Amino acid sequence: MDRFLVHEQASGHRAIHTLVIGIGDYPHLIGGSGALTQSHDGMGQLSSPPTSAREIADWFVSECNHPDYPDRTVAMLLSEPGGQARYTNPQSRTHHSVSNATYQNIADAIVDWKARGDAHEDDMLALYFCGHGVAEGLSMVLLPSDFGSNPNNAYDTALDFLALYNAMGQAQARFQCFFIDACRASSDTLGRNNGRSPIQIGPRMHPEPRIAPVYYATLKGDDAHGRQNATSIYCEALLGALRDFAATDREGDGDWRVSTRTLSDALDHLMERQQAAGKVLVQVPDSTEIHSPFYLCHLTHHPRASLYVTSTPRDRLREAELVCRSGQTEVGRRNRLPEEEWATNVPAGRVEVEVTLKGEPGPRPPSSTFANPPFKRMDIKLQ
Amino acid sequence: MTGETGHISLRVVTGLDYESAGLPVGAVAHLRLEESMSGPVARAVARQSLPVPVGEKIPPRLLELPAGFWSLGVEMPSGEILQQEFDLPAGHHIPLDIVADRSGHETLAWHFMSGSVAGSDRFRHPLRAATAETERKIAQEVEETGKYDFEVRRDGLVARIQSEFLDEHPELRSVRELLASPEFEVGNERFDALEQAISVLADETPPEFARLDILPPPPDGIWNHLLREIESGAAQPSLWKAEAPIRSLYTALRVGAAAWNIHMPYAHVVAEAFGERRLVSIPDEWMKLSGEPAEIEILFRFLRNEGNLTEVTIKDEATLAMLSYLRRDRLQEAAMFANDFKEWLFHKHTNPFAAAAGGYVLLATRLNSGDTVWHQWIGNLNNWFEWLPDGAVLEGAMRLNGPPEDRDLERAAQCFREAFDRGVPVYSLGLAWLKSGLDTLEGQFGFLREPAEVVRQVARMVETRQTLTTLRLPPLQQ
Repeated sequence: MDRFLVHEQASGHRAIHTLVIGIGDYPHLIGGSGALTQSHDGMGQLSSPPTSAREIADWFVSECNHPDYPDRTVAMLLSEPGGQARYTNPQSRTHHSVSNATYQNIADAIVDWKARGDAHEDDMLALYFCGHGVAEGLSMVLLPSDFGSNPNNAYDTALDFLALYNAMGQAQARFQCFFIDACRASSDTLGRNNGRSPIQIGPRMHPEPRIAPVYYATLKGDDAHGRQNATSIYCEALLGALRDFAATDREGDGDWRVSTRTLSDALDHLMERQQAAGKVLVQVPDSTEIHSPFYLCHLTHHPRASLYVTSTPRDRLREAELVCRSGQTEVGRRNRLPEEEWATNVPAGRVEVEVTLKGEPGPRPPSSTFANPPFKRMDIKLQ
Repeated sequence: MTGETGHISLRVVTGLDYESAGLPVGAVAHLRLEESMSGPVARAVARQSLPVPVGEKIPPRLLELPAGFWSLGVEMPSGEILQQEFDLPAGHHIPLDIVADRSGHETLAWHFMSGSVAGSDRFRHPLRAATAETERKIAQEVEETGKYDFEVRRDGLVARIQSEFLDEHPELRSVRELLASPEFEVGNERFDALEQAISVLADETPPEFARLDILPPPPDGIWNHLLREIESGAAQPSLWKAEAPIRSLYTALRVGAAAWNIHMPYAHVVAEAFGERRLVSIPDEWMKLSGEPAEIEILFRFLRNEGNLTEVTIKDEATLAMLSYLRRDRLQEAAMFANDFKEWLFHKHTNPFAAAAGGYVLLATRLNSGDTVWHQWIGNLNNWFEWLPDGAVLEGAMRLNGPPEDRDLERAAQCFREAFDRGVPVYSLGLAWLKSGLDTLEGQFGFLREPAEVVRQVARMVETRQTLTTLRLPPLQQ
């Protein structure tokens, strides 16, 4: 197994090759163990990225199901305080020592990852990066753990993401997917040096076009937010989307799949929902190059959808009791709360909602709707 | 269509302005058959996406569908999603007028439709949380202290609505009541109250102005001018000036030939307010298919947390939806509206700007679809409009990334060089594609190295979520 791989399942079929990078330890940023770089621009240590990276790797190892791509590789780089990071493969239970996410290691891992993608034009490549990022205009730079180690040029060890993105156009693998869980806030320190790419840009020589959506955690110019020792907001939304809320049965064959297009819609929805619930600061995801969708994975279970129940008149649901059923099974219940809206998750498909208003002895006749991912709004007329 | 069917008449009802008949193709409807009453139905019929008309006076789109229970989702150009379900018995005809949100202010209806302006409804939208957290904190503070200190904009002009300010202005009762409301759920009233308060604030403080200057063609070219801007934030002469006091959440100024009466294919306009400056590409005249020029407005925002300082809206019923989807990078939806590409190129009132927009959408979504009839039109756009950088960018991208029969790296390199020599592309996407093309080919073609370096520097100034190229200029040196 290559030195960065933490999972390899090879049977000679088409494969999804994933590279996962999570960086929490930045020795040359505020609070780090090394000399502080003058280009720190207020950036410090992060606790969320290694946790997020492990969660994403777990998903690709043990949950990502795609009949057309039965083979898998997952490579990983982690930086966290306290020595060498470790990762336990959830499928094989093998423990791996994971290399530090320095620029050179990231560059080497990218070259290996591209080489795996060159093996077959129909393979799929996926990259997840969680750590610091800086953006300005059309430039986007990702910061490895050793960012700032060169006191004369902090960006000497920075990754020019857009150059890398363009360069990956030369890979044989047609289908590529990039998940960038990093800030895209402007930085005064991003001068003429935009970092480097380990792969030289050049024209795509393969006759088939590359399809390569990018899912950013934030809009350009905004910060991304993590949580102390927990997955990032974006990571949580991404996993929710991949597991349920981005699923579509558009093909009409009962096979629920996640497409690169529905993933964008679901990410929008899930991050807005976290904000609406007051759980997180404002953070709006952004997607580009999603106009030629392909399927990322197939679900092995029936998905869930968000259901938002309101009433007309609007205040009638206050103090009402609500019960949601899918067939004969109760799938949600809200006791008498003062809120005018009920947000819940339900199995995709037809559901019925029964309302018992405050002061009334029994429930009103149920109202039904079809809830499909990512969400459905249901307004019940109550006189 | 086999089996038992019914009909629906579908349109989205929302207001634009009194003169507009509405958008013949203005939004994308996604139809999904949940339960069929007419047996098995082909997937393409049971799940379909199609453009639908938008407006109050526009005739609806008539559709024949299999009988059954249907879910309908309509995605507006602004990003708003409308949902409805309907039961369609065989042989029945159901009129479906889907009512969309309206702009808080009638004069901003076009901007609202394009997504440049948030509607008043966002204040009570269950998932529009961008302002929810701020409002919750304000409400909590008001409840606990009875004091108001409400900051509308953090940079530039800071409009603070404080308790003392309201004490001195009893006419602002609505603002006081608004702030005292524990839930801040007042829709239009909130919008109007804020407008009222800002208006009074503007009366009491030195007025803030929105300013526009048309940049004359720089003698050594627009790229060199921009490099000087990056270095020094240098002031520039102006061919035409306009300014308006900002007394509102949104201030719209009319631009284009109709406003400045100077004829050139397109202009670079410097927009300035709140100490910030942008350089915006504005078409001189945007011809509608009717042969009439469309109004073009540049909008300044008072609320910083809503996004960009400026937004440009072109009031053309035929292209509003496509340009709005283009702005949001929803090119698959935009492609549903791009079929008029040929019409825009060949119509007697030719609109090369609209043709270029359609070209970007088609290249991004259908370059390798096997349908090549429009590939020749891309070449025509480049050859017929020798001043338009976007035509050369489009042909360059087609030669670089297209199917083998179109691919020609040498020609692509020539096109990107030609595009650079013509100037800054009118569309943001054009600048991004120009940068990408130059980056990709400079290693093989030495004559692209200098343009690639210049474009890399200028590309750092781009605001990417804009349809028309908008560059963030440094503040003027005093």
